[in-house]
Amino acid sequence: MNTKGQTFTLEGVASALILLLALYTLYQSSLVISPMWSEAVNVQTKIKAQDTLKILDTYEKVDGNFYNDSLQGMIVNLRNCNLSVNCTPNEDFNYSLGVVLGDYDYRLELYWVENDTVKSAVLVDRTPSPNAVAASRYILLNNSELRDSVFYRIGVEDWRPRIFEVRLIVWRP
Amino acid sequence: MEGGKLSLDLLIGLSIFLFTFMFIASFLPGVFADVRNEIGLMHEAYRLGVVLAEMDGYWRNSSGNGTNWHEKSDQWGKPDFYFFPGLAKGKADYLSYEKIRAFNNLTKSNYDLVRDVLGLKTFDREYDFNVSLESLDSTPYSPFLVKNRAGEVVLQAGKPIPSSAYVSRYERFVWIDPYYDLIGTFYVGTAGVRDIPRGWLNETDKLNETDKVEGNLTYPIKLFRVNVYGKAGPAQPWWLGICFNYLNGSIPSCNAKNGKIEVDFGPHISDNPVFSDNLVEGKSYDLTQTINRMLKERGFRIGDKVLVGLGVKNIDATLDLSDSVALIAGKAAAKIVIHVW
Repeated sequence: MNTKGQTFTLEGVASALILLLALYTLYQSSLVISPMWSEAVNVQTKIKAQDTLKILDTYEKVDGNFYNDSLQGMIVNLRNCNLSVNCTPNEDFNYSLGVVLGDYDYRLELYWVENDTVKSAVLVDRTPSPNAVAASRYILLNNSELRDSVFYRIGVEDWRPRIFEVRLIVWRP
Repeated sequence: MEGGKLSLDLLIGLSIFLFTFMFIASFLPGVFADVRNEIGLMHEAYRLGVVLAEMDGYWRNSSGNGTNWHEKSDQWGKPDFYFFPGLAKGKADYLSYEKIRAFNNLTKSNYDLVRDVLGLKTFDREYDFNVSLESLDSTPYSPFLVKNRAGEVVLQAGKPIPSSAYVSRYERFVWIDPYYDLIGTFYVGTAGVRDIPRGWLNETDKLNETDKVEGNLTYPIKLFRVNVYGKAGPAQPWWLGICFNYLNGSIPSCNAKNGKIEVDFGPHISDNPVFSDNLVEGKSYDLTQTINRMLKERGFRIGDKVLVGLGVKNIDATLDLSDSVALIAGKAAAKIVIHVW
């Protein structure tokens, strides 16, 4: 009988079972996550950021004034300051934003168009973590509503509108 | 014989191969994360969040259609009545109090029907769910359900959340309209019968002819708003003092200056109170943020109890108080929490 290069039947069965066991262990311990699925976790944060901006967007006025803690109130109360230098949202706005976002950290930016160029200002300057997500909301205010704020345009009609984009970047600290 | 030996080897080898093949084929899909429950469930929870927080819902039968499905409680479950229970009121995250209550009642009375219309019961899978309306600072470890002025939980519907299973949790920040039912309005003035929160004390200091109202609140306070209607009685001194102190402290008196509304921390109002303003007829004073900031500076943490005392003199006023719904930019904000498993 020629026994060269031949595996005996019993050894064959044993090796097959070992192989099977190895495969089983491999499949049980591995999990394939596509980059798209990992977004599922970020979606929750993004929805929260969008919901926060929706809650803070209140055009309603009380005694002719916006709520201080609304996005509108925050913009019109940016007074006597230099944008991107020392302009920060009012205390009421910071408080309410903190109440809604709880233990999330955030960065707040404002964008608008001035003389055909897009300008921006950082209102709350914190450095986001790599898993941060952004949400934005557009706010329309006319020139008369912006009186006393840094955005008031002298010599421009009261009804002239200005659109602001409020960007809220949110992350788990 | 050589031939017979070979065929037995082949048979064993082939069966092992086929067995392994079947094994791999059945295990392979399980390697991908979305087939396993954790991630697959997130889509369902997200969808349920969108349905409840962003859609108005609708109803339709042979006689007509509309979005006021919550007013058709007598029709729910009838074979020719089709409906979909969205909670929104024309725009996303803007929820109707009536729809929330109707959804709560509907789910409690007919859980399977709700599961069916929300698409959580398909031909190959059945999901269970739990939906609740919680305060913004509520966490899975210390949930804080929103209650209405009658003390009933506004929304807590579905099956009890299992402690050992893959459960997906999703949250949506919303605001509720009208919020009158979510906030307690108490009469704290001297012009009529006093109506104070349950457990609070009502005292009269006969010597100074001043009334005092005392009770406990939980930090952070969600809403503390005083509405002043005017003076009560003839032109006499009038004021409203609001004092806070540690629970083991006391507030023997809380008298403010004449014509003022004042807030301070301690056994009485000091010469330099935290907040002081002139009393104006018809004005509302939202003191929520002032009080919370003051308590935070004094080292109060979430869930801590604080003693509150009101010194009332010749004033006609009410107090809007809530320990679950926060007023953000004029909106009563809370969150819808969805669990799916």
